[in-house]
Amino acid sequence: MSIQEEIHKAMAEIQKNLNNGESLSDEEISNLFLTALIEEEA
Amino acid sequence: MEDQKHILIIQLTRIGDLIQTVQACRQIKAENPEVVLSLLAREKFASGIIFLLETVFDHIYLFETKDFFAQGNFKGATESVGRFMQKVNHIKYDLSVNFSFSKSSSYLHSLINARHKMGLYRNRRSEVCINDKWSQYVYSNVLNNTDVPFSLVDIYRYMLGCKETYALNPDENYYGRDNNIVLHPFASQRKKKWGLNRWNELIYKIAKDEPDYQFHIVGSPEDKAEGERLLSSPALSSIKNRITLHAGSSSIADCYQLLMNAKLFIGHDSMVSHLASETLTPSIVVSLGTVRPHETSPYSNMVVNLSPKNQCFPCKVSDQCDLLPCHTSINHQVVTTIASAVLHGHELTTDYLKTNLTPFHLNTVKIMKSSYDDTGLYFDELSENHSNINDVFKAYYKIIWLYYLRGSETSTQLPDISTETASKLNHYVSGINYLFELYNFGVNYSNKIIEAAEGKDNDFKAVQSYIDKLAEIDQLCAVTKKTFPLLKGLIDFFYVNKANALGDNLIDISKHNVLNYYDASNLVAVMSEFIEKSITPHINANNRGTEV
Repeated sequence: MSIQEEIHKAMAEIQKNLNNGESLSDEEISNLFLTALIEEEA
Repeated sequence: MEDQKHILIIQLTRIGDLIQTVQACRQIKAENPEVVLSLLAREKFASGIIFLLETVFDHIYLFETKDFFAQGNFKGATESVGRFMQKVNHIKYDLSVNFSFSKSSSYLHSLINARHKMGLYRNRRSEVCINDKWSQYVYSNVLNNTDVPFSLVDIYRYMLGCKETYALNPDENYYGRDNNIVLHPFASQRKKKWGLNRWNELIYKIAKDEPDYQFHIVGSPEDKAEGERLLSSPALSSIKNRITLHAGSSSIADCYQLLMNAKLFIGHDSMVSHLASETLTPSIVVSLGTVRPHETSPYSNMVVNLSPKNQCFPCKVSDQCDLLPCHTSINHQVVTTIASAVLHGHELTTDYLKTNLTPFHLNTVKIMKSSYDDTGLYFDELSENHSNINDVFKAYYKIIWLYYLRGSETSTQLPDISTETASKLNHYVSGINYLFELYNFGVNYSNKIIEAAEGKDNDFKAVQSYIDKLAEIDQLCAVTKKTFPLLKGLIDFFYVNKANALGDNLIDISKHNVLNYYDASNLVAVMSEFIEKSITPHINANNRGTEV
């Protein structure tokens, strides 16, 4: 799986958890941090 | 040791912002020497100025995106972030402050283990949180392209709670420096960059007027080609031996050393200009395009800032502009005149400028000289006796925000205005009055929500209708902002303040909103009084409401 695909999968999982009213874990916040970094650098 | 307070500063943005962060943190450290200051920054921006950072920060944590992804996959990168954060979070901070306001920094801030957080962070629902009012001001005004009346360094100082204004001591050895002038004719965007031909004229003229001076052009490796094009100009061929191009061949530390031994710096609003403020080198800064001089000018009382008087200045990054009209507003003769004053120790005053420059030169450029007062850095405008409407509102906002956000009253006078400006201000009277009414409606409806929610009947329908009214007030404020754009700063601030209302239930949030609308209406009333005082001397008693 490419990094891009991993990111899409992680973001989908996070959105699903948020929709279910769950709180984000540190790992999920780290995922969001990394994704935002990549977006900003692009 | 146990009594030591630990503060973590997050600054993920560029080198210039890091230098401004150092300048603010130096002051909090001077007022509180026992505080342990840590910095979290990006290696590519911080590594070049580590020699500066180490003078203020006790611990420095650097990261780089590519290092997180060393294993080549997202899972590995996430684990790498986890390990990095363990290092950063080796203690629980008393306070963490995010000066970056970027999306990535908001998530990073959420991972910090701190008792109190200031600046942008996210909650566990990924919602943006900004609890403190100065950060709400940055988010609503600075990031929203409002032309603010404060230096970014002062905003950082206010966020940190600095009470005094400290400045570096003047360089006693200034006259012992060699006859060097450092130039930085480059910029990150085309809009911010005065054309090479103008730099050409400038260098030629100063070289002719100051035969004893050497010129040093500094810049990054990316600027080298442009620097060589500048030097290849036939006009500079006779003085080529007096010009050294350092772009691409020296580090930031080398540039710092060069500035330490220079009598003058001339450049755009950039990292190098901030470095010049650290080396106490008198500077002439040319602000063009998207630059907002009050906000980003170097933090020093030895700066002369030149900006165009064009209506379109400052513009936004997204604004299309092919002709760059603001660039022609700054003539090289203005810069050389000011350079001569600095190098020969003449006091730069309005009279000096009027004696040495023509009205043709002065009509198109705003010349501001920096100084410190008890609120921080401020600028004296030397080129104009009267303020335009943008500057008038900047003066109003400075008084209002310092009072509301810092609790300090300033001795700032209301600016002198022309009859033309008074006429434009008069147009804002109806906007201010309308805003006052809207915010008073906000107070009323928020109170009605509380009454209905706390009442025995729990009238949900009534509550919903009052909430709809508040939404309507937001919409009407947005419309008011379009018609009266200079009220944007106030409207945006209270919108963000309301969005970050404290409380986790309708009643608590509504109580916060009552105070929010009440404060907003009070500040609007104060601004109304300022406008009234400004335009009254220009009003013909017989023609009030028609012409000023």
